[in-house]
Amino acid sequence: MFENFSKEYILSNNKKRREKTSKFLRTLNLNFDENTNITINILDGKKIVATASAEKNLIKCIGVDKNYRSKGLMNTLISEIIRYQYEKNIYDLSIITKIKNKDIIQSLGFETICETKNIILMENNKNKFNKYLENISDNKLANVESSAIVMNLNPITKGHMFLIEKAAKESQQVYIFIVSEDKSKVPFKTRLKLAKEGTKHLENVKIIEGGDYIISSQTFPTYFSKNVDEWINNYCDLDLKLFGKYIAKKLNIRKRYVGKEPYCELTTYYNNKMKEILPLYKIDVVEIERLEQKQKAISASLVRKLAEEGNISQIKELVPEATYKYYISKED
Amino acid sequence: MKLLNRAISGTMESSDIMVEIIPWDKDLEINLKSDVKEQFGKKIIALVKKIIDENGIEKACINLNDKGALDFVIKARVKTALYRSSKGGSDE
Repeated sequence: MFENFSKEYILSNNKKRREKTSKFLRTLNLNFDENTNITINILDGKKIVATASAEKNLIKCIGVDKNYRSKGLMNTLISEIIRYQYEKNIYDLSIITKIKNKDIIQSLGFETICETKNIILMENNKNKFNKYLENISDNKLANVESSAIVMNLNPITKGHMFLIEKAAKESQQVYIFIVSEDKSKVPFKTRLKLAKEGTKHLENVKIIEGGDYIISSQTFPTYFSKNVDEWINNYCDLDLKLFGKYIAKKLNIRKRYVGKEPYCELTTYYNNKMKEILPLYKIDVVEIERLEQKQKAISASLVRKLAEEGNISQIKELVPEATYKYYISKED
Repeated sequence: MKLLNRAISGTMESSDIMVEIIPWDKDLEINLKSDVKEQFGKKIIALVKKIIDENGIEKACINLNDKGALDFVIKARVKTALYRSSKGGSDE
């Protein structure tokens, strides 16, 4: 019965086969995520009947044709992905999938990290998340009720500083989680360095790397549904539950500060979800009006735009000194 | 035999077993996940331990995810994983 089955390995530069895979996933009401390094398909003759992809340590875009279920194709695929990544020295793997796949993924050696109503995050090395939480705990300054802000800081501006300083004034401790994902214009290391320099005058502020479990590609399942709203909804649920249930608990976080978002629809949606979910974990959400200059909210995207256009001098009044110096040094 | 690298062999397909070997400084640890753990768990672990002993290995972590593999399959998979670990990677 397995005689006609074969496997194919598709690298990210194989547009034709990726398009075919995407088409197959759409028949299952799933979306193909362009951010994948490897896709493995099982074919019956020439027809794709099962697929799985991976981006670094995250396995995603898993789908099996309805007529080919209960034949162990998922076992074959996940085994192959594990082996493939193993050869690249990627050992610890994560999967985000629909909740109904929980049992089968569990039987393949993965354990639940966090589950929401619709989706689940599972990993084959549970120590990874525990270690992450331990590292987070190491940042604890004092055992007092604290506040948190999650920011990309791409790069840090006076708008961010306004929010941070307000939180610092109103709280005994403030932890700032910087989104680690290196998909931003300003590299993570630079964002981290500028944030530390920009906030060094604030004694009760601690900068922490967000890592894999705060707004990362690991908590970002972009393919669950054609319906973007549903996808954003699932992603927000998972991300905020991880934060509320585990991360905030480690640092005794009772308030999360956030800037009001005047431009970006996705951020507005995320902020609203925050107000809905975090109070379930006894965390208050404090939304602050953005700092404006000349009737316009100061934003990092404005700074990046000015930098791209070479208007470095105009950046000066929008950012802390360290950020300005960074752009000057880049110009030389 | 000296283990040098993390290595893996086998699959999680039905009647197969996936074997992972992680060299470390601690005593031998064998972790078994199996659909038939209740019936054959002890036997599987004893078999794996015997192969490990025969190769003179005392310190390693062995993770097994068994899908009902027969003895000779288990033997082959463990030996392959040991070989890969000692040679430094897959030879496929």
